[in-house]
Parts: sequence; structure tokens; C-alpha cells
Amino acid sequence: MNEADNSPGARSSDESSSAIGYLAMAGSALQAPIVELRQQIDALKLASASWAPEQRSHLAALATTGRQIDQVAHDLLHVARAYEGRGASVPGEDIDIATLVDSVFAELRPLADECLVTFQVYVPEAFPAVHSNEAALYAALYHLVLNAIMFNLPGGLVRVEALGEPSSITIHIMDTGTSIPQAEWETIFEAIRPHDSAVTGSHSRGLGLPIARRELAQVGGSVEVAQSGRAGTVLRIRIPTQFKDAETRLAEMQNDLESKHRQSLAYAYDLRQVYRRFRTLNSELENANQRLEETNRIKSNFLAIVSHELRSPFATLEMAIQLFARYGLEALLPEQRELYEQIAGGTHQARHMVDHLLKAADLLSRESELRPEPVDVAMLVQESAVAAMSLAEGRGLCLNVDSPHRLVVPAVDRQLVTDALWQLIDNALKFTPAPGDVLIRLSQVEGRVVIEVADTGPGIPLAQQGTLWAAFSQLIDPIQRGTEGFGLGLALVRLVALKHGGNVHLQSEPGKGSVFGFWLPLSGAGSDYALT
Amino acid sequence: MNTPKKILIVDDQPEVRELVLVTLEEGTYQLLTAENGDQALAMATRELPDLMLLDIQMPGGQLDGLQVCRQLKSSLPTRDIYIIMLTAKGQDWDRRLGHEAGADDYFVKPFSPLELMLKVDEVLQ
Repeated sequence: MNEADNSPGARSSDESSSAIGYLAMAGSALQAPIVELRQQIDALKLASASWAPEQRSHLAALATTGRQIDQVAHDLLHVARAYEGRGASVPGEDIDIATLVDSVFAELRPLADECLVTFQVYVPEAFPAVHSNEAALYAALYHLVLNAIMFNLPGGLVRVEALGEPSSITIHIMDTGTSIPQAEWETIFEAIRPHDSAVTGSHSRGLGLPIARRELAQVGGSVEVAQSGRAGTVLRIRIPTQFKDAETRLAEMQNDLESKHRQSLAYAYDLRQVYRRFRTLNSELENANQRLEETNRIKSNFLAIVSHELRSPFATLEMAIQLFARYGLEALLPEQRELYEQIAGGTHQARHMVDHLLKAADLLSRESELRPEPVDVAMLVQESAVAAMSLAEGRGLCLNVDSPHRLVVPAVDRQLVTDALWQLIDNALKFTPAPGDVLIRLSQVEGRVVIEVADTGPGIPLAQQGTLWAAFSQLIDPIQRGTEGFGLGLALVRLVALKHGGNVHLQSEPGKGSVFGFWLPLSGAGSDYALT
Repeated sequence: MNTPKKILIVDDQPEVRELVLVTLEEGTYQLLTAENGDQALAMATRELPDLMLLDIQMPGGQLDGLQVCRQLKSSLPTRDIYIIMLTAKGQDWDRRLGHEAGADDYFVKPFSPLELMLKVDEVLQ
């Protein structure tokens, strides 16, 4: 701004200095008519002894208004003078607050006497040295005390109390005047504001409070209404004991900015490290996932191929056994016949397992899709029960069904669900000793179709239930499968449930039987469920 | 490993250049800086960076960011440089002007370093 006169900063400072000039002109131009006005009012006062009370009160109001106009004109002049010739930087000096308050009181004493208001001041002996700007503090205190006098009641009190702390001092200015509504606690410090008297009916407060606030801001201080009520009003001033001039503050701000910038660079650096690490981990994870997927694909392909390859020799074997039986077993010795039964049974079982393996491989492979259709699951349960009835009777078990008449699920794979249910029934019949009960239960619970098979068998200890469920997932790695006895049946049930977007469950206690079950979502098959 | 991708950072404020350098410095990229539009245009034409971060407002040179962008985008050898304009907060008009000048994207200052890293990785993938 030192040489370029047409820079924006210079222009706005020109504008504001000419505005201050106008302000000063307006202030001084107002003075003469105001003096005239007040003289006229004083003359009228002398003549008013014989007036009606109503007329006299009008005159009194006029006198008050006249004094307020006078005050506003003074304020204008003050503002103009305060800004004229004052640079951006306000100099600092050591100030004795008690002396400052005394000189403010001395200047305002005549007005206080006129308004029948008394002063009190309290500044502690050991008061911190205040390094600030005397002119600014004086102007602020002057206007605040003036305000406290003007809005006091006759016989009222204005008390100034100072409190010192190492880094700042607090000055309370208390009056016993009318209270300030809380809505106005901030607005009274604003220079431009809606006309007070129109809004609240109170007298205009002039420019004193905004001036005080501006002056205090110059030295890094503040003023606010601490409280206001029937007992009066307390204004709180805070002033830092170490005043910093504009240049010091600017330098500090620059330092602050500089260190913030350094800090943000450090954050950016950290962020970069974390981000790079994240990227690396992420791509490692992606690679690992790809490898895992590939491995899984190979596994299920292997499973499919092996089971498929096993199927035909077992089919041949079974066929041979059937043909063997057709030639008649009568010629065999009892021992041979026993061996034949074992061969036939074992082959049948092995074939069954290969079938399961094939199904599991099919379910595990990503390509396999469900063949969903609307199925009346109630009907399906009934049919399975009928098919199992003779088997149950043959083993001395009582088979019951608890099912609604009709329960249609919009999209399930009929064959898979039939297989799954048959597995549960078959297991229950196999492991429940006679005499016993097996119950097939179909129900609908909150958007789920639940199919359960309860038995009165020996039950399964809690510890084994865990490994039992774990065994299901071990199907993916059949070589490591630890749990024997249940075969692949339960694993198949779980795969069917998962493939439909459902799951399996088991409730069992030794000696109290077991309930194996699975549920399917009623809304339809969630065939996109990831099985890996 | 391919030759490192080149990124040209153009901003008159050293703080912004520094922040971008710290954010992207990794050996992964070759980072170049310019302080004004004239430097930016010369360097972009000579070095043919893959990506450019270009401040819109830069006092001190003859050219502002938009002019640099327009010139680079209208010349065949430099047309494919991916240009991200840097605009100050609250300048809505920048966006339209930047688009008209052919800019590929824009960041509003102050921008997040993470956002920058993600964007750069995305563009230079």
C-alpha cells in the first residue's frame, strides 16, 4: 500500500477516511442547533411553573430527548476524532487502572450529580501491571460508565470492580438501573440496529456501547452483558494485561500459520504412508482372493471329476452284485452268503456316498444354478413322510408330521429340498433306537420356512455339536474331514440351505433327543449366496 | 517397471506446491513444479507430463490457469495431458470456465491429500 495509490486497500482507506470526515462534519454541524434546542427547553422550564402537570411532563420528556440527541452528536464527534489520524497500530503503554477509573469518574461527576447517581470503585492493591492503550481503555470505560449513569434511576449506584489475573484483567461495571432484556444483550453493542424504542419502548442507547466495544477490540479486549435483572445490570470487560500491537499480532498469526502448514505437511506425509500401505495390502488381498478362488475352483472340479469317475465303477459293481443275486444265493455256504451281504451293503453305501459327493461338488461349483419353482413345501413334507413310513415301522419307530395343509414357497429347487429333508429323516431313523418317535415339523417364522426333524435318539453332547457343524464346512476339504458317522448327508443339507439363502440349525442334549433343521427364505431363493 | 509417470504442479503459492509434493512424493511419480502460467506452458510443452494440477488464479505471469489449459488442450502434442484445475473456494464460475477450457477435472482448495492421492492413482493407473 506504500506506493500504489490505486490499490483496493488504499481506496477503501480513502473512502473510510472521507466517511470519518463526514461523520465529524455531521457531529459538529449538529452541535449548534442542539445547543439552541437545549437553551429553548431551559427557557421553557422557567416558564413552566404555572403549567398543567401534563404539559410539564411533556416538557420533561422533551428535555430528556434533547439530552440524548446531544449525546449522540458527542458520540459521533468522538468516533470521528478517535479514527482520525489513528493508524492501523495502536501503541501500548503501562497503565494504572485505578487512576484511569478515577479520571473517568472525575469527568462524569457533574452528570452523575445531575442524575442523582453515586459512584463506587474497587481495585485491589496488588493489581497486575496492565500494558495496553490508555486512550482506548479510557474511551471504553468513559462510554460504559456514562451509559450506566444515563440508564440508572435517581438515587442509584454505579460501581466499578476490577479483578486481576496474570494474563488478563476483568472489570465489572454495575448499575442499579432498569434491566436490559436478554434478547438485547448482544444487539446493544451493535452500531447499526433496529430502532430500540420502537421495539422495546426503552430509550435509545446511543453509540456509547458500540464505541466501547470497538475501542476494547483495538487492544484485544471484550465487553459483554454479564447479567441484567431487577437489581440492575453488570457489564463485564476483559482486557489482556499484555497488549500486542497490530504488527506483533500479525507476526504471531504468520508464525501460527507457518506451524500449521508444517503440521499439515506432516499429516500429508503420514497419510501418504498409510495410503501406500493400504494400497499394497489391498492389492495383496486381491491377489490372495484370486488365488483362493482359483484353488476353490480346482477343488470343486477335482471333487466333481473324482466322484464322476467313481460313479461308473460302482454302478458296474452294483449291477454285478444284482446279477450275482439273480443266479441264486441258495448254492452259497452261509459264510459266503454273509460275505455277499457285506459286499452288497458296503457297495450300496459307497455308491450312496459317491452320489452325495457328486451333488456336493455340483452345489459347490459356482456355475451350478438352482432350478427354482413354486413349491408347496407342505405337500413335499407329506410325500416324504409317506415314503419314510414303512422304513420307520420296520425299525419300530413312530413317524409323525406337524405341518400346515399348504405352504407354497415361490422359488425353491424342489429336488434339492426333497433331498435335504430326506437326509434329515434318514439320519433320524438311523440313529433313533426303537421304540422311539420321529417328528417332521414344517412351520413359517417371520419370512422363513423352517423344516425340522425331531427325534428321541441319544442326543449329541454340546462339545460335539460344534465339531459337527465344523464338519460341514470341512466338506470343502474332504480329506481333512474329521467327524465320521453322519456321512455327507448333513453337509448336503447345509449346502442346500445356503444355496437358497437360508441356513441350518441343531438343538440337542444327551438323553433328550435332537432337532435337526434348516430354513429357507420365504421370499425366494438367494442363489447368489457365496459358498466359498 | 515402466518409466515413472510425470506430474506437473502449477501454483503460485509455495504452500500448495509443497503440500502436493509431500502428498505424492514416492518415487512412483516424477514431480515437476511451476509457479506461474508462462512457466507451466513452457514446461508442459517440453516435458509432456501425464497429469497436471493447474491453479486457476496466478498473479505474476502473463497467462492464468485457464489460458494455459486452453492452449494445452488445443495443441495436438499436449492435448492428452490430464488437467485438474485447482480453484479457490466459493468460485462457482470457475467450474464452468474450466470445463469450457477443456479441463478434465477440478479440485476446490483446500483439498484433501487423500482425495488427491486417490484421484492421481485413478488417472494414472
